Amino acid sequence: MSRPGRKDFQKAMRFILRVQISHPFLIFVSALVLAGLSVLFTVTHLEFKTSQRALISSENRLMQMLNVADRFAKLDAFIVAVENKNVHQSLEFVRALASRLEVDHEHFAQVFYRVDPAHFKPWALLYLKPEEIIALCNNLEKHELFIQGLVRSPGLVTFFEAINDEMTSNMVGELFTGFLRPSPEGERSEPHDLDFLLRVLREMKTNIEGSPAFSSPWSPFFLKGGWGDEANEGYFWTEGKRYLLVFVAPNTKGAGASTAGKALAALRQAVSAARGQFPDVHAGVTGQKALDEDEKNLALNDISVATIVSLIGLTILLVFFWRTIRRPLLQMTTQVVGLSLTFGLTTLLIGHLNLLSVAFAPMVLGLGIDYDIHWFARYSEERRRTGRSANQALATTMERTGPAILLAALSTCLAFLPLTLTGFKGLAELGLICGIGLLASSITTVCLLPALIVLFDRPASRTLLTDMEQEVRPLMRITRKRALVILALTVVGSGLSLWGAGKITFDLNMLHLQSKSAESVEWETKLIEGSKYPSIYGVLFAHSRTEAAEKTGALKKLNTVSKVQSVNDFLPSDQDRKIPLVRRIRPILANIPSSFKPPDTMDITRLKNILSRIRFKMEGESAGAWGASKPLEAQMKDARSLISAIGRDLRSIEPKVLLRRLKGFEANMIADLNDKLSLLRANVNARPMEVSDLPRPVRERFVGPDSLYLIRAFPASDIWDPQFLGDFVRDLRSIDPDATGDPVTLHVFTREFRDSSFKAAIWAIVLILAFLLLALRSVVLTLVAVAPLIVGALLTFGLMYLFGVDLNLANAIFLPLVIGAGVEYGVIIVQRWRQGNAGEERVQLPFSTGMGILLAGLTTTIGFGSLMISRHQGIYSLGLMTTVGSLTVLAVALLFLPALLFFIPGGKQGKGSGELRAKS
Amino acid sequence: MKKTVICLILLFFGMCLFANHAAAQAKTATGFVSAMLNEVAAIKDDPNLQGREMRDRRKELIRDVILKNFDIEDMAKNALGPKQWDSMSKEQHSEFRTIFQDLFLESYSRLVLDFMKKEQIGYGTQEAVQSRTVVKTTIRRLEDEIPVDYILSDLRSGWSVKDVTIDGVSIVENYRKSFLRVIRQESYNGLLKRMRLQQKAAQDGREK
Repeated sequence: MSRPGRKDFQKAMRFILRVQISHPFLIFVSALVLAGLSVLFTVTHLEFKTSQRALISSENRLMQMLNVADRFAKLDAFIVAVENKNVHQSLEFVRALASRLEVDHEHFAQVFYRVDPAHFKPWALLYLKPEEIIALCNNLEKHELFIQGLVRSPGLVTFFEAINDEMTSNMVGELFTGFLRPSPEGERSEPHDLDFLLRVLREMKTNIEGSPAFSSPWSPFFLKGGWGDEANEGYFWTEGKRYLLVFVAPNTKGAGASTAGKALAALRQAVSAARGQFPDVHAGVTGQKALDEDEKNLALNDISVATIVSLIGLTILLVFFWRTIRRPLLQMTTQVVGLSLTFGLTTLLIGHLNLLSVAFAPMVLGLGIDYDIHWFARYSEERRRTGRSANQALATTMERTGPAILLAALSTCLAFLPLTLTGFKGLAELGLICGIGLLASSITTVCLLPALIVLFDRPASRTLLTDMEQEVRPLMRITRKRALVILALTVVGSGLSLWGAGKITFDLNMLHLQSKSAESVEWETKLIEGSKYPSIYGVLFAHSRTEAAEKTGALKKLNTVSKVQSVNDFLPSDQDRKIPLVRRIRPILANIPSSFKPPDTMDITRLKNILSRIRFKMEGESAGAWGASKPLEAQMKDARSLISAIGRDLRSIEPKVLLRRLKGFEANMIADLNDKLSLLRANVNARPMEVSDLPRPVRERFVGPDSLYLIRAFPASDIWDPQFLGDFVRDLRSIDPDATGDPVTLHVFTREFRDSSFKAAIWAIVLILAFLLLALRSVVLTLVAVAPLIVGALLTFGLMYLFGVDLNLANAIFLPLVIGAGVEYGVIIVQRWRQGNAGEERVQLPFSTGMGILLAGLTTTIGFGSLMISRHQGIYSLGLMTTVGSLTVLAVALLFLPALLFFIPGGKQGKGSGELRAKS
Repeated sequence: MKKTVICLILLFFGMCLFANHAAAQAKTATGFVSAMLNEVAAIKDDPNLQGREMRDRRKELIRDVILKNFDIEDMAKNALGPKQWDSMSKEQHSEFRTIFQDLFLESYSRLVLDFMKKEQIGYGTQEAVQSRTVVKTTIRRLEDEIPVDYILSDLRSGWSVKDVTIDGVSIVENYRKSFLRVIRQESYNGLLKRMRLQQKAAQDGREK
């Protein structure tokens, strides 16, 4: 102790010990009070920020843009996906679910499951293509007399008579004046389309046979392809109608994660209740917020279980090694106090835990308990070997092992603290918390454990760590030959590992980290695989509709973009051109009365007669009369059989019932025609549609304050595939460098995380080397001390390659953990080696130190290994990696390091040796 | 001898009565239509005129029947409408009538050949409407039937068909609407051009 620094340090250590020996109870109670206060402060003030975005600094430009996008995207936080097997049933399910959700204002702010077509009625024609409007106009002109006739004398019989007249006119016209038809020369005549007639006949048959359902036959009459069934329009179907979607916004008035969590639970409960009504329907909840919530809940739950499992495992292991319950309890006490202090300091300094730092407790526990082990190992050795009193043994341990423990803890801190330099907020916070935790652990070991020993320790008569031997015996006898073999094997293993490490890839797919059994993950995967509809999309902003249209156009040209949505998609395009076309319909409608209703009676004989006349024209014998406009054979056959079936019904159904049903059908038919004509009337007078005319849920999703327009760009492939994700984000940024949205965050997050992990590992090694060089003042010993972490990390990579395990976003943080463990063993062994030993023969690794490291290694393994029970795939893989890593580092520390030290000159014959000899 | 003379006188009067009845029958509008349709049916049923190769011959004979029984000049005039007709010269009338006749004969004979097959013809009432007589008939096929009305005029030369209404749709009215549309959209010459083209196509078809 020639250097004044070391002297002062030892003086301080002695003082700390003296206080503990003189006031052990006060120290113990003070520690408990401090821990209690920390826990109390933590419980009342610590927050959980489980969003992936909480891992990135809010100063980041991307995050600022994302916060803007959040104002829009929060409305689609949850997505209920309904697997469609039956359109009618799926719609009924969604309606039933929506009616439940809409009344639950406590949990849900908005339920968006349909854009009501009624809202768009006054502009319905403007949504058609110009050629469709022209076709509609021509169609109305063509059927003008038919409609006029029917409206003047509305009724089922007159309807069929008008149909028959038109059909006959068509036949006669085709036969006698077909050559005057205004079709381009050489073009073949279109067959007379019986679709409308067939629809009416089908509806009529269904209705007179007792079904109350009515589906509009008029819609396709006016417009080829029809306006669709209004009652079932406006719902959100994915491609090919594979899934029906409902977008749910949680009520965030309460703010904080618990509100979203409760809303998600309430939503799942509502889905389950709705499924009670429709047991055949399969539905589940996904969406970015649901994925976040599920991941958070699963991770928190798994971490809690893993912490308990690791505590139990550690206790069992320690009881087995110490052969007493007291020492494990003392160790657990110091660790619980250390963890409590860490929680308190975390709450004070950071205020929250993020998705990564939430896993700090098992890590700190796994590494921190090592300090107690090293302390006890040396303390036991001192007591057994020299037969000294407890206080003397404590003093020697404090003087000799205390500094080593603090040195190891500081070195291990240096494995974590570089994470704070990465600029990646999530990792920085984890690094800081782990650093604080390890320091707190080592301080409680030095400042609390001796007091606890004084108060409670009764050493077992015999433990696995110390035998009653008077001399220091090695853990493993190292001969020159053995040392050479170990070194050679290590060199070969390291070489192979270096080769294998180059082949390990980094899996950036976030979905691979989550539990496959999580409902949100399951449905997200289904949506992607079944319909190429991920719940996340890229977001661009525009300051005008024109800019939005330009960006939309550019996005649509990208191969990586499947669909683009903006407010312009909800507004009719080319309105200036379409409005004059729609106005052409006005004079046709002018001749049609605006109100009409069917007569009170119905002449069924006349109805039979007119149906018979229609069927006459459907006979094959009549084919010649149709000329070039002959309907399709199949349609004629259908019409024949439908009229025949209706004829049978007209004869067989009880007259009163028949009349009631026919009148019901007639009323529906006429009301439907009235409805369609009203729609046309409303449209011919419509002004251009504006953004303010859109329904509120649509506006809220696409137009923000200050006329900020949001554009959604949906990916053309699997957004969770990192390769595609990179291309997608690059393409979006080529259109707008400020492109944002979850895919962009994901891309930036995953890459920044990966790079930060590697950077932090390199920084850690550099800092540890510098620190050890300063502390040990020897290049050789520094290199020897870091050998377990370097060789251990290398061999871990080799084993990863051997077992086919890739690096990912969760297990990448195994590096600081393994580095931490590696440097700790290295420092402890080198420090012990420097202090020398009592034997005649040089011992590279004394039995007690070796067993202490073995125990420390096993506790670390249990601490990390407990993470392998997790269903969260990321946490599982972290557990696997750290278990493999800590076992490898342990093996290197116990085998390779002693073999290496065999060839290092130095390592003094310690005081203990002389003392022992004198005593003997 | 006396008996013989009385018998001969009775036979003579009987024959006269029979002849009168037949003549009277032919002189009613229904009889006229019936005779015309029977004549058409006879052509269609003639065993010597069966087969695809005899189609043109059958068509030719049917055209003769139509030509003989329809007042095509009047139909042409009505099809064009009085306004247009009155504005035209005699030469134009003649030219139009000729083309119209060709086209009508072609279309009607096609209708008869392709559409009227083995249907049963039912004869209904005969009604006088203004200066014309409407003979109501039905064409029955299996359990369905459609009405076909013949509109006739009693000319000095006998009955003549002025129009036919098939299931409520008048052939002449159809012509008038179509012609007017073309005249309105294009011109009379445009109409004539189209009709000539169709006439030529029909002639080419017949020659083939």
